[in-house]
Amino acid sequence: MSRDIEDQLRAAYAARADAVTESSLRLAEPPSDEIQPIGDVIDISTARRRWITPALAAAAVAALAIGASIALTVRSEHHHAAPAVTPSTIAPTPPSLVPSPSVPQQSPTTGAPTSPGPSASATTPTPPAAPAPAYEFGYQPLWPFANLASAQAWQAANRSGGHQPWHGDAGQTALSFTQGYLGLTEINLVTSTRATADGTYVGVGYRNPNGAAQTAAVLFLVRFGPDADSPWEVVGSDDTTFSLEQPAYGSQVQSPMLVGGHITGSDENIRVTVRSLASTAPVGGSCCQPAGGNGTAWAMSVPFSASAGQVLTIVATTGGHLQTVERFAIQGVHT
Amino acid sequence: MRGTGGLDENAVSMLYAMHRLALVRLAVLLVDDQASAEDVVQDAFVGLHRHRAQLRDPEAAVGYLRTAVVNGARSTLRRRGTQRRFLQRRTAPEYPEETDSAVLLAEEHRTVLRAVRGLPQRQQEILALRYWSNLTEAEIAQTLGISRGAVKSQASRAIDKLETIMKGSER
Repeated sequence: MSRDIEDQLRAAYAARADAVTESSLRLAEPPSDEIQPIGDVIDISTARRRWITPALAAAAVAALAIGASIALTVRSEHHHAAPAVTPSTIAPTPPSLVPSPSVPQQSPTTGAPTSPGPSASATTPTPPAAPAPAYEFGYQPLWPFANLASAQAWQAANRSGGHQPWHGDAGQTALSFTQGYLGLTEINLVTSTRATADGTYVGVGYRNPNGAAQTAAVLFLVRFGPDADSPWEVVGSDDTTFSLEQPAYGSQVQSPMLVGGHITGSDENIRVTVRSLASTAPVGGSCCQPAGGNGTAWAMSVPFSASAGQVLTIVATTGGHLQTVERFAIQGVHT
Repeated sequence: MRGTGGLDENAVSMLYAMHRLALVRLAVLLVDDQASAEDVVQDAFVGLHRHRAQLRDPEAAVGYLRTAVVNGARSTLRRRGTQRRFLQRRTAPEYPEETDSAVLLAEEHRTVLRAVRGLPQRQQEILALRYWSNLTEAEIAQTLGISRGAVKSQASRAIDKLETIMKGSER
């Protein structure tokens, strides 16, 4: 077979398929008994797609959650998942219409029992009952939950009958993040899983034409909550031959931002996309920069559009040899 | 997701979350029209939901979905062909061979895809599964319900023919 025609065919298919994006799909829901009994003709083409983007549910819950955020410390132990960020924590509180920003501006926050007029101190005594121990989340929460309240809402729903149980599986969460949120549908395998005391490293990748699994990125996930059944949250990536280092993890950014890192490889083609849980479509991006070499620095200016207080996921991809995306790296920042 | 009672609702939801976009992309390569592609994929998931009790393995479910999408795309094209023949008899218009891809793609890609559409439907399916879905010959054979040998020979024939068409279009 002609290699040339095969390459042309792959490129044409990729171009045509890439024209179909998650945001271009019409709203729909998976078939469900809750919609109609099995055997009925199910017309769900106009139904809401609330299940596909946990972010939507997360945003709704976040809108009702109390923003009783208090101070906390920052953990820092990992190359990319070692944020010097201002974590948000939430203690059980009655609903409020005050949105809770997931990334406070100045200092780390901690959760505390709430009452009208939350205290700035996590140790404020409440005579009738001992305050619940504050939970600390020292990372930039990227996906699927925007904040602890959303994660806890899922956890409560899961305990009372189960809902989207993949949140409890680090591998499935990593793959859903890659395919569903980042839109990198060619990355369709979990290639490795390594649990540590802090979280789980999940390799995601694809099979090359010889059938061998190739790792495209190693994502770092932590449980979003203090419990053993708290859901997994993607918080960063462990980069090796293709890194995204600028802007720094957890930093505040404004458009346009300089995005960069290092790369080892040949004939690479770097594309940067910026995503936010507030939007199903990318909120920014830049394409494409040729790159290559051994540990060569790369950088590009990336414009984006996002309102203040949003957590952004920057994703840099490269590929073009075997498939459009062969490696990627992510970075969590906020506006 | 594994069990003796088949896939549950959550498993179907997860499969939908993970595979819908990729399947729509596969379908659009076969029917070249996103609205039809989405219908085909939605029908595939409805079928999966209906038969989920018999599917115990998510991998098998993905295979089921892929086959359903290919079969659904074939039905869509068959219906479209019938409509085209009907319209040509009545008003003799030229039914548009290209739909929404025409405005989206670079000329080089349009040329390739136009050439692909000149191939027999089975060969188009094999090429899409091979060069877009990156399936192995065995997986393609399973998806289409044909032998591996048939996949290999049809793919080879398709590429040869494609090359001939492309060379002809360059002249």
